[in-house]
Amino acid sequence: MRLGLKTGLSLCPGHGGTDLGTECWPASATALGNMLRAGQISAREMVQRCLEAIDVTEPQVGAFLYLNKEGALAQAEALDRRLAKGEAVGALAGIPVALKDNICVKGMPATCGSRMLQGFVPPYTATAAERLLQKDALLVGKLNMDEFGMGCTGRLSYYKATKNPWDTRRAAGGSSSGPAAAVAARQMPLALGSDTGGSIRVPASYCGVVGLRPTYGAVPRYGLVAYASSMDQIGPIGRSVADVKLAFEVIQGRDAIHDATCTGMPQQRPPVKKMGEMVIGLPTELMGKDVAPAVRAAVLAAAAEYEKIGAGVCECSVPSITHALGAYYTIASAEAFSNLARYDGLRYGYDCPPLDGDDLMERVIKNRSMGFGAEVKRRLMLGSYVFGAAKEERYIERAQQVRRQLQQELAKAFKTYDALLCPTTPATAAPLDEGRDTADSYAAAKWCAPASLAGLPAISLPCGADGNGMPIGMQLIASRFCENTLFYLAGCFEKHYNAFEGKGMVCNAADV
Amino acid sequence: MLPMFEPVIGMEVHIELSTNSKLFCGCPNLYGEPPNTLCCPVCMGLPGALPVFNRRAVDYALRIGAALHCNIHNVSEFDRKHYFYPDLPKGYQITQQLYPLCTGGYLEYRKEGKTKKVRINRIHIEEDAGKLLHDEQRGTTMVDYNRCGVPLIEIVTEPDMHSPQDARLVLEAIAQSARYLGISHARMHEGNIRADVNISIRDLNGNADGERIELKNINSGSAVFDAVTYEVRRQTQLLKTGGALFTQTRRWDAVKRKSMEMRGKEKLEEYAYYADEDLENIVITSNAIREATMCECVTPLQKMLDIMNRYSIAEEQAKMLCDDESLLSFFEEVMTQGTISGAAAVKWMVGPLFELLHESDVAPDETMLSPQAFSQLIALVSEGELSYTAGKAVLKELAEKGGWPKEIMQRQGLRQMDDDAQLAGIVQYVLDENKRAVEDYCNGKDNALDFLAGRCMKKSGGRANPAAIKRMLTDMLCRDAKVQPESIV
Repeated sequence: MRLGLKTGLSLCPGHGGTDLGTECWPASATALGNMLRAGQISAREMVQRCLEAIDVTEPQVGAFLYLNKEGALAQAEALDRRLAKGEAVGALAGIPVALKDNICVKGMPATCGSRMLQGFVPPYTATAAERLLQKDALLVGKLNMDEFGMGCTGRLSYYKATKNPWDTRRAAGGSSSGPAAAVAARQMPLALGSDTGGSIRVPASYCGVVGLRPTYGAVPRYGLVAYASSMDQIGPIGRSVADVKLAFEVIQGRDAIHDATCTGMPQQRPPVKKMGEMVIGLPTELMGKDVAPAVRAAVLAAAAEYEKIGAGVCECSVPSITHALGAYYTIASAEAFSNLARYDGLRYGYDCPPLDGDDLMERVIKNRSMGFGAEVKRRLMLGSYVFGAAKEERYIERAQQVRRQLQQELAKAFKTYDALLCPTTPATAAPLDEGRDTADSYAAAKWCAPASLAGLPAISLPCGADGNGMPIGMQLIASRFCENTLFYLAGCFEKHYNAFEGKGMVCNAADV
Repeated sequence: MLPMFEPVIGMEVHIELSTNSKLFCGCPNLYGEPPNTLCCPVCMGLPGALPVFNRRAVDYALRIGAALHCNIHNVSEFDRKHYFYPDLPKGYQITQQLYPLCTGGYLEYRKEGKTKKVRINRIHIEEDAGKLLHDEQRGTTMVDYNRCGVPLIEIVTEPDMHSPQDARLVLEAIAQSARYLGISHARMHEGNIRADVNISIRDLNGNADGERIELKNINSGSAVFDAVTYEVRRQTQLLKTGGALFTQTRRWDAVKRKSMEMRGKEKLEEYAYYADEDLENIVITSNAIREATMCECVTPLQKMLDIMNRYSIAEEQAKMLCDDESLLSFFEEVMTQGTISGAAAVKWMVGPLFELLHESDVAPDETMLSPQAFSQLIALVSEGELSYTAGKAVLKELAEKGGWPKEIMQRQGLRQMDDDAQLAGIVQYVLDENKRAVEDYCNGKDNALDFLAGRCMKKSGGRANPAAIKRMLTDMLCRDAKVQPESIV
């Protein structure tokens, strides 16, 4: 498979791409960790190479909003000194990581991709980020995103659009556009994103990387700027299932002091069946005519491969999925309206130059009008509408009913199936300048909304490419706290079909 | 108040709980610290911060819920109430709207010797907002977030009050209960208790004539009284002159002593109540509820009635004692001596002793005065051995240095002069020395008697028995001046 077109990056060794010392760069996080501990590479060198890769690729990709160059080098040097003394180091020692810009780190800006938080520097660090640092990961910087998590193209950041490394004329996906693109462009092996309605999975799918949306409550949300409190989750993006699993184990776990909704993974994890006993369901509602033929073919081919290695695969139906999208946007908009009520520009963030005679209310209105982008405003108005003018319609109540119904149907499905398989997105990454109609781009969240509404874990991984060489992502969804089932199923597929490394399948419409 | 209309009054009382930490974060719950020094990302509502519930607040809520005979619910929920105001950093307040902790119940209070009841609508837990400080001169407003996130209990009464006095008594009874139960310092001048009062009026046939007006910013019993009085007068006047009343919120200005329309609050606000997804429901086991309600916590009212009856003292005095734990326990210790009557003891306690304690702002057990000594002192005065004035002086020394009244009395020679012969001598001397006053008295100036009595007391060094002096004076004046006793007033 040709990777990267003329306008894209040459990403693979041997394709005339930038030689970044291919023996150790970019290898998996696990491999890099081993090399570090074996003394084959120093932490400082690791960061150097990372910074070089960023230097080379950033002009075309635009994943970063803030680069922590000095800080990361200093951290690396400190780590090297400890290694020299023979001290024990953490599981992520020396691994360069970067965080989506809605995850707070003390002393580093957190803009959430919005003008509203321009200049905001949090005085505290998110628990998930803290845990990475405790395991000696090296924090290289903050990554671009769609404003406040609202968007799935990567075009909706106030600061810049992040490009898809496979074809820089195309969208990287969103809202974790920076994390997915950075990992895909091999700037660093691991990044943390956040997923409310697909914000990890969609860009992972478009950029051909692995992205996990954890079970709601597995990873603490403290320090994640809230969008929809009942659905937000921080999750890892990496280039392999093993890397994503490594990062997940570091960040998951209870945070009793800071987050009442986080229980962490249970002590006794649900058992993982052997492949021969696995049953995978294909929800018909997610394999309909609105899925692009290439994507459909890739997912069906993946299903066939699972059957080959011993799993049972069959169609199933989850009727409430049909209404899931409407329920998702209603609830998400209502919760966004609530969570974004605090941004007035008076204490931090964007404060437009006041005019004489402006009273407080006028000033706040100006700040919010100018600080928020169009998409954010659209969703805030939707939220305001369902709370206020449309109160009698009881949209929120009805959306919650759909949500409960969906949860029940999925719970029932998981009595029969160990996982559900479907596309992550109905199509591959669209061109950036294609002025997509809002309703259309909203519709793309249909495949991700069910897991979000039901608080279920879901993983997206590459399963092929379309005729333009753009990655196709497949999604596996499991029951709550069944991440191990996802890792197992995804890992087996990855072993057989190393799509990212260039040995994947090309699916053209003609093949279907 | 014009007799045709009757006020209908309800109250929403906010009580700051005296927990160590705030309701949703670990910041200290303190008053009077420098501004913005008791804050953290959570109570400041910084992006990404999350609330975590301080369960101590539930124990406090259980106590007041039980004391007010409420229906305490096993499960209650936290909701967000959205509105914009600079003292509310998140743009919403975490409160309990749909499923509060308690519903129903009643509060008993005393008015003019009778026990009255006001029904409780609900009790719920919520967080407090920050404080705005206005600088009139510079025309700026500053915000202090120290108070943000302090736990509040809101008690909503039914509109069962029908006079300013009742409203005041109810507010004071609530404050007293809160102090008594140990859930709040309930110091109104520190803003520990705040009330919003809803007032409407109806004619005596029970027809509501006006819409409900809400008065905010009422911070003491006398403010409630004044505000309600003013508002009822205003509403009545308005209706009588053909004006209309419509639902609105007004602000009580205690300095100007009038209520004023609050700007920008004409239409009903849409609060967009929504369950707070960051917090779990409050779950209280039935066992815990049973324990709280079965604990025979004597209410302040019951205690007061008990003291009144047991020691045969007046309600006002019993109330004063019950309001102060240290005074009350001292009083009870004094009474166990068994040597004096309740009436005598309480007279001295709410009189001279209270004055003394108030001067130095101390509690009885912080002085050198023992209940036994106090008891002895009162007995001495009752039996006439010490005059009241001398007794007060002895009390002061007892408080400062301790000891026993008999010993002090002897040492300072304060024993009351009761000997008729001695007294007669003094009276005669004074009459001789003040012939002018005697003349005045004979000419009908009755207060000359007091003047002469005062001279006698002075001559005796304050030790003369005042009643005996007065008696002797009148006798001798009558005898001397040949004035008939009947004409002496």
